Amino acid sequence: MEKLSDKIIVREIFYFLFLLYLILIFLEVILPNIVLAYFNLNYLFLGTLISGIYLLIKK
Amino acid sequence: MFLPFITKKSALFRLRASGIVIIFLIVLAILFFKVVPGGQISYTKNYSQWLHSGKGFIYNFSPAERVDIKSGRLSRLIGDPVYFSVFTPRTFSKVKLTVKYKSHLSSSTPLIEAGVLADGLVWRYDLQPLDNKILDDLKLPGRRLEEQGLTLWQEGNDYNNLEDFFADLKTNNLEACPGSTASCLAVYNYNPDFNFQFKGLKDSLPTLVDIPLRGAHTLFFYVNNEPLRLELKFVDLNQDKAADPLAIILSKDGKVIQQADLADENLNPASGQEEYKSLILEERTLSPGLYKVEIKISDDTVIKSLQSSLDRFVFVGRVWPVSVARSLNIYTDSNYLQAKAFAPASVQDINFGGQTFSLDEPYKQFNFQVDGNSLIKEIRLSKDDVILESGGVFSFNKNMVFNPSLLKVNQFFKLGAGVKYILSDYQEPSVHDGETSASAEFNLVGVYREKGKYNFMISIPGLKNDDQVDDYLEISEIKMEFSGRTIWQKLLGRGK
Repeated sequence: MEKLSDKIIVREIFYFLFLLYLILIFLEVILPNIVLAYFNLNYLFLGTLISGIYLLIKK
Repeated sequence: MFLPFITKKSALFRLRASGIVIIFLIVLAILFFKVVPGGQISYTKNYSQWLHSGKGFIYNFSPAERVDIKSGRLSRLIGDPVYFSVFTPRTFSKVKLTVKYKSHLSSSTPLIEAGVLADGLVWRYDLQPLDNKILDDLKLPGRRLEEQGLTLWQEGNDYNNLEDFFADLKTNNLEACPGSTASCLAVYNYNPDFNFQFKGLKDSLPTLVDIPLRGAHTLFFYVNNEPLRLELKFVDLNQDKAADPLAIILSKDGKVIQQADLADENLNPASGQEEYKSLILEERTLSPGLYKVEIKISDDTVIKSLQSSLDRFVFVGRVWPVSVARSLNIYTDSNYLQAKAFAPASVQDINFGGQTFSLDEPYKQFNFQVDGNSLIKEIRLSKDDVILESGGVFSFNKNMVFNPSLLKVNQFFKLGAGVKYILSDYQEPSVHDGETSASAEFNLVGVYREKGKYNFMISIPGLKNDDQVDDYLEISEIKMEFSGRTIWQKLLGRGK
């Protein structure tokens, strides 16, 4: 089975978190409070930021 | 370019596909919790937890000066009342509120009640009991009857079932006090079918109340085969931005008979320019009995005068005289009085029931109590703009004070004084490991809702944050169980 490198995995995690972040912000804008009541988007932003910085460093 | 990537189903493809599926499931879950298809959901706030994944649905208590969050691990309610709001992603028709707490209250604060803001204009809360220590500790020698959530305590063993009691109550012929139900029956959270009889009925005369009264007021009228005509003149102060609609609602036994409304176009909000308005309510065919008139206006509106075709009326619970520019005499049947000076210029000494009390700070509520034996107490105000509240009635005419309500088991209630029966719709809260769990249910249909939030309060009458007494209520958990229409009922237009 094809094995993905750590860099690709981190890149895909970054894409996933970033897309999820955008979608959740969109949902929060059209349905106020529905996301923030359950989940603090800052945690997701932090995850996106860390994976993004990691990618930049590895580049 | 993408086709081989898809058909090959590489590891990268599988990784991305699972990511998209996860995102799709997350969005689906969020939409599920937005719609609540089953119509039932519960939200909990645990005050001992410090880590929260989101900001939650139950918001913090306010105002801050009535809540102590620093002295202990849990929030402590140190003043009355305390408010909190609850965000719900959709509307519901009912909620069961469960509060878990440890009580460090003194005997002077025996009541804990919770309420939902039912009317945002007149700031009216629908209150339900959480705990009533007077009833919890009540010991009457007679047999206690419990049926369908109602409890009857009796001094003697006069009744073996509630059916017989209610039959006698309807005819004002209770065993221990025939003909004088109002003096021997006390109630809590229940208004039985009780036919109030006005004593010493005379012909009624037209009456003018020319004392300006600010904000919403409620009146009881006793009508005896005569028409009722009310003409009210209002002044819209236009001191705030909100519109100030006017409404007069005439009702009997909870059923609205007639309503007069006047919308506010709000052309001069917050301008300070006074607007003069008037409303007339007239009903010619009224059967004899007690009627309730609610004057629903905001605090930005003053009732300049009230012209009534009848003189048999009293103000219920609250009066707020303003701009009188002379001393005032008001009469009440209550032994206690809550007074608040609404302006620094209104600070004064109040004479209540022959005793002088000092209202020495503005914007602060003072409680005054007298032990006098007289049924009617006089309140003498030297200055106006004072909010007066009590569990009784107010009148500007000493000879017209009547209270059609039964005695209430509130914080001022004392057993004795002829009370033979106590009737309540109240369940004693449960206690586990020193922690009390009390519940109350509220109807949410038509209640005030703003920005997706319902507003609630917890009231502990008599609890003060500035009285140097270390009494408080320590809240450990609030749970709200909402129920409403399912998605199918909503789509088919059924249910409430």
